[in-house]
Amino acid sequence: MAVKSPALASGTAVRFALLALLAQGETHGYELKLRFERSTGGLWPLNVGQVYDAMRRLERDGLVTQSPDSDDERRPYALTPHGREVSERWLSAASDAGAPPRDELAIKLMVAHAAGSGAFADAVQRQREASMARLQVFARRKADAAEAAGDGPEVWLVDLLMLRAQADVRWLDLIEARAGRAREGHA
Amino acid sequence: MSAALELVDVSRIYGGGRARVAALQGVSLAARAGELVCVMGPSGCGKSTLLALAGGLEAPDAGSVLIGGQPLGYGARERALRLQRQVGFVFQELNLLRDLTALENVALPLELAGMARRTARVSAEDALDRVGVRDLADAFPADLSGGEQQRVAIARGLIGERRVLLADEPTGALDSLTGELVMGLIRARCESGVTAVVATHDAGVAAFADRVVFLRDGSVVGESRGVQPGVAAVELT
Repeated sequence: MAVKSPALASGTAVRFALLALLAQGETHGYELKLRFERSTGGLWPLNVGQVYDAMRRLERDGLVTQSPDSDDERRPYALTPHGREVSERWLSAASDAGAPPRDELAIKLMVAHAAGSGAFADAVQRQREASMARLQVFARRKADAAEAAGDGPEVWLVDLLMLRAQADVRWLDLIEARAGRAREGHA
Repeated sequence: MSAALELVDVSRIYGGGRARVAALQGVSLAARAGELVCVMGPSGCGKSTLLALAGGLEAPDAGSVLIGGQPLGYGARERALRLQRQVGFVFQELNLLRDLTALENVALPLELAGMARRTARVSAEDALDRVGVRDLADAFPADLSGGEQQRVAIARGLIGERRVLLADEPTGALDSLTGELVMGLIRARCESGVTAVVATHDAGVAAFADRVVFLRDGSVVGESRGVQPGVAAVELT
């Protein structure tokens, strides 16, 4: 099984990112793909098909136009005034995580807690080991990225993934301590 | 091949009667040369006791500790020699004597061991060089940043032929970025053969380790080696 990162590059985020990258100057789909990969340190490769799908949706929504005169594949895209406005609004707005996700980790641990303190302690420790292993893999990836390309987007994005995994470990430590205190309180 | 550092089924009990507390109970840990092991757990789990036993500052009440395959002795002379020649300690704070320069601080263990001042200082310069702060040799601790002080402390920990570094929350007083630099430095010393055991409660620090050992209430409850079967690289999609 592969170590999966959280889905940081959702379809919507990619679409908005392509729109914002188009503000650097009009260009064709392949160059947009390269701009996206450069700016995100190569962590989320896109295939050209995804880029053209995204651009078709942006065109349908009136956010970009494709110039009519040159041959099909190389026709450059440009932002419409509305597209520019939407792109600026997206860049300046805070990201909204929305409703709390139905987190499998959280659900599993709450169910384990209901099953008894032994099951809970085991589940917490197994999860802690798994999160720690991810962190160790990320740390090596970060060191490799820093050596290969210096401090930059790839390192910073791995930092984000590491901090999220650290948050899991801290949460596990915290609920374990709270459960222990609650048990002592009942003793 | 024997482990560079080995704790075999060690226990350490403090107090007696109703005040009896088992700080460590039946803990075994073997670290090979060049390995960076982090011991992770909350306050009071036994991390600091484990380091004290590993470096022979304290004797276990049961079990044994070996460095380079040799069981530790606990006579005054054996303890002193061990700290001079085999094992270095780094703590969270208060690592350096404020009235000595960085160079004098680093040379101190060798001078205390009776080495001629001039020879000890040559070794100290070399140790500072290995951690990238040779240019701070004449600075006093008060003139150094927290990260620089920890680098000097690591240089002192590893001066001479010492190949075992024991560190207790070495990044606890540092900001994240500086802490990462200090851990990167320890990691680099391990890559040239030093064996390090670092106690921490911080998962971000433990991420640097080859192996993380989890300690709870004086016992090892699990470990992570940072590998998952079949995973060659992180897949980021």
